[in-house]
Amino acid sequence: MGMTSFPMEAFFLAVGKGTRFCIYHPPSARSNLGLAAVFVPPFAEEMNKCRHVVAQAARRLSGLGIGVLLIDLLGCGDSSGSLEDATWQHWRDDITLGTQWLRDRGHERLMLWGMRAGALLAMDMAVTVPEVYERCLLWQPVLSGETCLVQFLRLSIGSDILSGNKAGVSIKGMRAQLERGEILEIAGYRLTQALAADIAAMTLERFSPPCPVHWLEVVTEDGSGPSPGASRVVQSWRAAGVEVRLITARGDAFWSVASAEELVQCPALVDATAHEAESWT
Amino acid sequence: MTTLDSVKAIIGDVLQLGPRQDILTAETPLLGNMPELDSMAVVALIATIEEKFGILIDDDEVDASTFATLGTLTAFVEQKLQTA
Repeated sequence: MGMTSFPMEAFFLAVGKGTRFCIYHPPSARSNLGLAAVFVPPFAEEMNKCRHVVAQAARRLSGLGIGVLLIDLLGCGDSSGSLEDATWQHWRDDITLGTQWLRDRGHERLMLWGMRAGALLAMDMAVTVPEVYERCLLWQPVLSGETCLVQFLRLSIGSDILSGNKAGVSIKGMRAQLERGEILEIAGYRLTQALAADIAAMTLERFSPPCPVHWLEVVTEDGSGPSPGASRVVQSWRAAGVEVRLITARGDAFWSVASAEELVQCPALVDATAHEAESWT
Repeated sequence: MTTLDSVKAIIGDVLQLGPRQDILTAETPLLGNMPELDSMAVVALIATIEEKFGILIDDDEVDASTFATLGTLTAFVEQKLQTA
């Protein structure tokens, strides 16, 4: 990695009456491959835990001649709207919008880079428009939208989870509230049944990718293999003929909302990503 | 890696036990014994187990007894894997 920094561009894309906040890391002028990635972000607060590591990797990819567009989805980050306005379809439309923006900038080759729940959205897009994206990079993908939703709801239960009687808040109770049309406020995010149901319906396994996939998983110890859950999905994709590279990188769970307050670095994941990208010529 | 080793590694990781992780056995008490295992750590531990094993844990399936020892937690995970 040289000391050259490439000028990134931050801007708002207009969508109907709203805007989406974007950051574009253009490819370095010397080695432009025509390739660019749309980053599909994690859900809710996890995104804020990840921005710094994502930005580091985006700069590395830029240095390798690959453009990266980071887009805040409707109701997330600095984009307009509230989470209660968002549906899965809106987010798909946002990824399409970002993809079109990259095309307009002259990128002829496009790929998706999904992280956590963003990996579910990325694979959904890759399967829906298989002619558009030539490969997918997945960072610590969420295997099941159902688990993702339950973990989000669990944030408001905390210690009560061990309190035996569960008289207070429960996951079941919260889901019943959602089904009655109530909006739940969790960690500052207003969650609707429409979005919760969309997320819960997603599983990674059911999307059989139409393009090569690079799956990067963070493990805490050198030499420890990928998790059983990841291995299972990768095995089923390979059985269906998909080209999947499952790579582990040593580091801590920097995306975890339940862990320490401060931001955690993960240099091995950034390095492993750059290493994978060297073959994307 | 056995399920017990996997669960041990997850505990060591979430609670950041470092080398202390190596002395954990099935009989090692967890809840009430490890100061690191506070309420948010329990939530993080459940989330990590779910993700590493690809299982979903309902909140009425777990209580304090699940987290009594490394052995009870491992038995719970094994039973979940069998019914998954």
